[in-house]
Amino acid sequence: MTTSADVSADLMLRVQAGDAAAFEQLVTLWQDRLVTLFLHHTGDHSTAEDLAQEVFLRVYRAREGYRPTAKFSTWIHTIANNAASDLRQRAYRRMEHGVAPSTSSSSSAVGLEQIAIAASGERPAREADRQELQSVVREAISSLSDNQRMAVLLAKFEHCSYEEIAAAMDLSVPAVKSLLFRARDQLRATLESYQRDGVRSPEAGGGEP
Amino acid sequence: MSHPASGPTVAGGTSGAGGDDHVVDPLDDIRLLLDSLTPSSAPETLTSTTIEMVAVSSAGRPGERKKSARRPIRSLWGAAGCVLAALLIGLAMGRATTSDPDERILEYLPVVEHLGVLQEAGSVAFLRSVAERDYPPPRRFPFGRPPEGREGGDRPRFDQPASAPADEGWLQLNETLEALQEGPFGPETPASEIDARREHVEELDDDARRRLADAAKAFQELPLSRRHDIVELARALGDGDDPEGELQALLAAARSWHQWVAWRDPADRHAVVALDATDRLEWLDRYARFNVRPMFPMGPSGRGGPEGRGFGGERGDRSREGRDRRPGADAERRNGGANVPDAATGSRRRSAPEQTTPAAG
Repeated sequence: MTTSADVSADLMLRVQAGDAAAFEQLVTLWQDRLVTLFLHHTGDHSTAEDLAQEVFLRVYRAREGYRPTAKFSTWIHTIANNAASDLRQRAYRRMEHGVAPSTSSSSSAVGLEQIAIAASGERPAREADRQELQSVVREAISSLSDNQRMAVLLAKFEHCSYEEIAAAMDLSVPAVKSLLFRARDQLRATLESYQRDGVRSPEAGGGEP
Repeated sequence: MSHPASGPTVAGGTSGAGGDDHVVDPLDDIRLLLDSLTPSSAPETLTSTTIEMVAVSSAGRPGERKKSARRPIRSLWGAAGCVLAALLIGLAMGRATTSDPDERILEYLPVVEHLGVLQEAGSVAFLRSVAERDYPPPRRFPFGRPPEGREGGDRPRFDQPASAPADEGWLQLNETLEALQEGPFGPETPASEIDARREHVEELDDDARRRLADAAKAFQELPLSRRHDIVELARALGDGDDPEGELQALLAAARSWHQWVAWRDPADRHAVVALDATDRLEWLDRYARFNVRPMFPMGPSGRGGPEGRGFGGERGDRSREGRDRRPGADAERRNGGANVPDAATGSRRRSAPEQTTPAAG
């Protein structure tokens, strides 16, 4: 049976051989997945699209070195994680110029506003509509550290195992387990309290350094 | 979207496609809690822009591009390779640092040659935001200018808007516009035009060729989104037809922005130009707020009364409202005082309160 991973690896081998159409197919096959991953990682759609394009560029540049010994998804997830890390470093450097990272702060502000409404007690969690819950979940996700967030999103959207997450993030499996354990705890505290009481957990929002 | 169909994968396994091993979901019981995070989809244009960006980006890597193309047809290109090498040697006269004026670079030559101006202008979205907010021109700062050098009694000369018709950057913008409107660029450039450009590059002197090589390298090294913005801006400026006045609005905004950054020292200017659209607007807002304050609000003596708050103190009087208007005031007025949508970010900015609050120091 041909899995989507096999399809991607096949396409990548064709890209390696200079097949431009294969690269286009690869982009089509992966762009939604990458945009989803980056959207929930950064909280901004245009940044997510930029990052997805950056990943495809890196894939193309690295095509000569691609070997189908590892799963293609692990390979591209590694590239995606590196692209996200680079973005983080650029944002850090930009802050040295005294300019706050407005994208994330603005989206965060909206989230907080919505959470404030949701947490006002006027509407308990059971009656909260999907959009409110979504914003609370987004806020909870954004309160995680970058590594925790990436690990959670790889597990959630890419159905990665501990080993695959470890390979993509260049961490050991125990480190990933620890990372996810803490992330789960933090998310559980935030989301369960919201679902139960319609009130945002006071522990949420701290994140890890 | 073609997500893997598998659910939770096998911990300890390497493939995740195992059958009946002990299944451990890394997300454990919180997976259900995260179900409201929905998958997203990329816009339809993303594939085409990605392909175009990758094509443009790989243009500056001649070795890489040739490596893959060379293998199957190496023998056929042997002779052609010799000719090309001779051409390259000719192009690399002296210590010229130019890389091969690759065909892709030649396709984008008008953009590469005017990269500095286009980088400064930023993007269509940014210029639209600048146009919409209708920033007043910056005033000259009086640092180092003796009081007797000012004119008009208690109205200092630096209150005059900076007009820069003879500014080099201003002229460069006009040249850029001419170059972009002169001929096509990008993949649609005809072969004859590419040949003409190749000859043009060959005729450049060493310095000009070195500058071009630097610009080509800088173009290649730009982040994808930035390169996309620049190509999009170049297309907008290169479109000579302007029935709706969009081009003129963009040009006016580019000139206004140029006036603001032209006053910065080179290092600061470089850092400001490197900011993205949102941060540029934030920077511009900050300095535009600074701009509307009276420079010496304490009166002719320079001491001021009890209300004097030093540099950047009390707000200017109402009679100066027309000239010293708050940035974006016109746009807000046109919108009936409502929040002004931000074309660059897509967000809606709050209007009056924080913009009228004097910024710190």
